[in-house]
Amino acid sequence: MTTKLELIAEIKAENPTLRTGSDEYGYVELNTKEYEATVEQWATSRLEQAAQLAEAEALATAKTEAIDKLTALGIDPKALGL
Amino acid sequence: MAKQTFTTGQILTAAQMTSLQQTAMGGGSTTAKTVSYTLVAADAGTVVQMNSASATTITVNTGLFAAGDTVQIQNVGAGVCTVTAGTATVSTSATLALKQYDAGSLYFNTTSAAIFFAVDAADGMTNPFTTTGDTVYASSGTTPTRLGIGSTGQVLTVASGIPSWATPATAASGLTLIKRATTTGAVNTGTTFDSVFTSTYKTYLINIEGWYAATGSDVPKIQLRVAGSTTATSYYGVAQNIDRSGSIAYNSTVNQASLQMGAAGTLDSAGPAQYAIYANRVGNSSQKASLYFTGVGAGNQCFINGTLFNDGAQTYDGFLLSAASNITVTVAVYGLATA
Repeated sequence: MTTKLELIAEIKAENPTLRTGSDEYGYVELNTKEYEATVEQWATSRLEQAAQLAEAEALATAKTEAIDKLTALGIDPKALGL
Repeated sequence: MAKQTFTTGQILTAAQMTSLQQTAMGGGSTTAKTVSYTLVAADAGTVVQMNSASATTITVNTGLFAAGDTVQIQNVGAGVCTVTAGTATVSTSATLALKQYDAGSLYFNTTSAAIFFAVDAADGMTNPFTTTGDTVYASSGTTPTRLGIGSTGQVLTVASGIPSWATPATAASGLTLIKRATTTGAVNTGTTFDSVFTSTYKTYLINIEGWYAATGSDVPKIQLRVAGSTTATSYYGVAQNIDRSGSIAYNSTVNQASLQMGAAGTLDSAGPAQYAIYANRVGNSSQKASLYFTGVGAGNQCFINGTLFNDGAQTYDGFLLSAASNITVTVAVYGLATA
C-alpha cells in the first residue's frame, strides 16, 4: 500500500505548481505554504478514499460470503433481508 | 428692390441692377416695421423686417400679389411677430409665429393663396452628448434633452412621462443569475464565488454544469466561505450514490473540514458529473447553513443525492469547490425566492 509520503512525492511530481481561481476572474498560483498544505490535504484525501473503497469492498465480500454460507445451510438469504 | 414692371424703352440703371442682384440673392431693400403691418403690393420682392419688443402681426390679404411673387419676412425684435392670413390663405408646415431672429419666405401660388416657408432660429440641434452611450429625448414638448448612459444592468424605463435608466426590480421569484464561471485545471474555485450569497435571496441554486477532476474518481468537495475565509470545520451530511446496477454506496460526513458530495470511487473520468445544489439559510442571517443536492455521474450514470449542514452559525457569503486533485468545472449561481 502506498504511504502518505509516497503519495505526497507523487502529487508533487505531477503538479510542480498549483493555482486557484477561474477563467473569468483570474488565477493565483499557490505560495509555498499553501502548496504544501494542499498537497498534504490531497494525499490525506486519497488515503481516506482508498480506505473507504477498501471498507466498501470488504463489506461486499463479507456479504457475499455470508449469503453463500446461508445458502449452503439451506437458508434463503432473501428471507433474512440480504 | 420691389418688383418692377419694365416697359419697352425703359433704361435699366446700374443702381437698379445692383438692387435686383441683391433681391435675387435673397436680400435687397428692407422695409423696417415697428408695429403690426398689412402687406401691400409694393412689398413684393422686398424684405419686411419687424423690430418690436411687443407682439406684432403681418397680415396677408388677397388681390395684391401675383402668382410667383415672394415677400421675405424677418423678425429682429423681442416680440413675437405672427404672419396672419387676412383675406388671403397662408399655409405652412411650420409656425407662423416668428420669434426673435426667425424669418421666412412668403410665396404666392395665386393672388389669394400663399405658402410661408419658415426658418426657425432654433432649428437644428445643439449636440447635447457628453458621454459614450448618451441618448436624447424631447422634454417640455420639443426641447432636446440629454439622457446620460445608465449603469450596467439598468434598463430604460419611463417615469413621469420622460425616459430614464432604472435598476430593474428584483423578482419575487424565479431564477436570477448571480455569477457563472469556469475553473480549468486548478486546486479549487478560489475567491470566484465569494459574495454570491446576500440578504437578497433566501434560497440559492448552485448549478454545477460539468465537473471533471484530474483523478477521474475524485468527487467534489464543498466548503462555505465568510468574508474571504473558508470555513473548514463542523460539516455534517451524507451523500448517497446509486449506480446503474442498483448498487448503493454512501459517504458519511461527521464534523469534517468539508462535505464530500458523493461516495469515494463512484465517479469516473468518462464524462462530467453534474450537480444541482439548493442552499438555504446562507447569507440571510446568522443561521446554520443547510444544503441539499442531487447529481449524476455521467460516466457511470450513477445518481447522487445528499445533504449538507454546517453546525457553525454564520452569515455565509460564498463557497469553494475542490477535490483531491485539480478540477475543471463550470458553475452558475442563481438566486431563487427573495428573502
